[in-house]
Amino acid sequence: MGFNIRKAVQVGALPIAAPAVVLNQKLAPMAGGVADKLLGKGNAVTGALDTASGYVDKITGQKSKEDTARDAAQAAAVAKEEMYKNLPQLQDRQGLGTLGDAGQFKSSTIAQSPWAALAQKQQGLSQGMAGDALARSNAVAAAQGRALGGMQRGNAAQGLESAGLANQGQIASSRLGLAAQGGQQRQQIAQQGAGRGLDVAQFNVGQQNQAAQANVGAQNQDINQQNAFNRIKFGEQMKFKGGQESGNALDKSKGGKK
Amino acid sequence: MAINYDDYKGKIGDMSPEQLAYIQANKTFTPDLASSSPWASMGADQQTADQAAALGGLPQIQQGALSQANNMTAMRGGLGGGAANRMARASVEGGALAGQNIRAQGAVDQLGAQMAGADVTTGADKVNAGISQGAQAYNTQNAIKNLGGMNANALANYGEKIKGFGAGQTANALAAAGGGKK
Repeated sequence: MGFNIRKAVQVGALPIAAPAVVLNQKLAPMAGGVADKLLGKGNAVTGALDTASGYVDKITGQKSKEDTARDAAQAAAVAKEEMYKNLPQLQDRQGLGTLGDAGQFKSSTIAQSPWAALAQKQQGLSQGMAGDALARSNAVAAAQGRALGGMQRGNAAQGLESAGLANQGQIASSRLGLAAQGGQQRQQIAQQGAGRGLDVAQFNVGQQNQAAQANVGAQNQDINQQNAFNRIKFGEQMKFKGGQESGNALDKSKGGKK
Repeated sequence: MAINYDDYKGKIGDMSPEQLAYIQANKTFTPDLASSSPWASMGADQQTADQAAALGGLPQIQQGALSQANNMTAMRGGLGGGAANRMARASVEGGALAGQNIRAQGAVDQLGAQMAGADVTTGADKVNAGISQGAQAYNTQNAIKNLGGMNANALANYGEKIKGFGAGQTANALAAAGGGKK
């Protein structure tokens, strides 16, 4: 039922230039605007017919003022849609986070030195060698003592015993001295190793701090840039809005026409 | 950018020239790092060579000492069979002991050389770590600059497009108004 004229009119073909009005001849004789009343459209009194672009008086073929105004509003809406279709859009700013790993400052650190472990090992070896050398020199001294006693042939068993005891005492004393010296050396090594370890640790912390500081700086810079971006974007939008409002104002004033 | 006006058949205000795509400045720098210092292993190598030389010369020294002792005892009438054997055995034992001493001292010296090498290596590691971190920071700064450039480019593009859009609308409005014709 009703008229299928709407299908024949291209909405986007604006401005509307005499759209082809196709009337359904079969329904037209339904005089008295019955069909129009059913549709809630049309003019039952004048018998005006509903078309896509408005009402056309059957007799005069002219649009009413209301129809003309409605057509104009529709055309303006379509024109506006058409106009904004090409409105440039600003994509969101890409923040530092979008770079992922590539946007992160990283620290390069170094491994702890094996110096202290090597030094302790060396000290152990040296002390062992010194112990061996001590034992050898005492053995040589004892042998020399025995040989000397043998040559003099006057050394009684008691004398040999005394010499042996003295030799043992000397060995014990020397070993104690050696152990004490070893302890001192190990302590020195520990101190020097700690110094080296501290040096490496300080270096690594310096590297890490440098990277962390750079990251904080980059993040702050990113925030500043985002703020600047927002300001510029707002400025552009305000410029656009200003132009839009001026246009609307001009439009409402009908371009100064009276 | 050159505009091909033949492409614009419609209203002049509908022209939408496009800025050329942003060229990414995303080259990265890979630093050359100093290889481990030759000084780090040079001391240990030198010690190994010295030790080998010392051990190699030991039999000759030992043999010389034995010969000298034999000569001295010969001048005093010579050694009996048993004493000669004992002296020869003592010489062999002395040689073994000397060899053992050389090896033990060698191990101590080797460790000393490794300790010195460890210090050199640590120094080199520090330099390399500084270079690596510097290069990484340089690349990161460039990546951030590139990102900033992309954003600035997009913003400038938007600003220019908005200007163009506004100019287009003005042009269309003027055209629709009939250019002042009555």
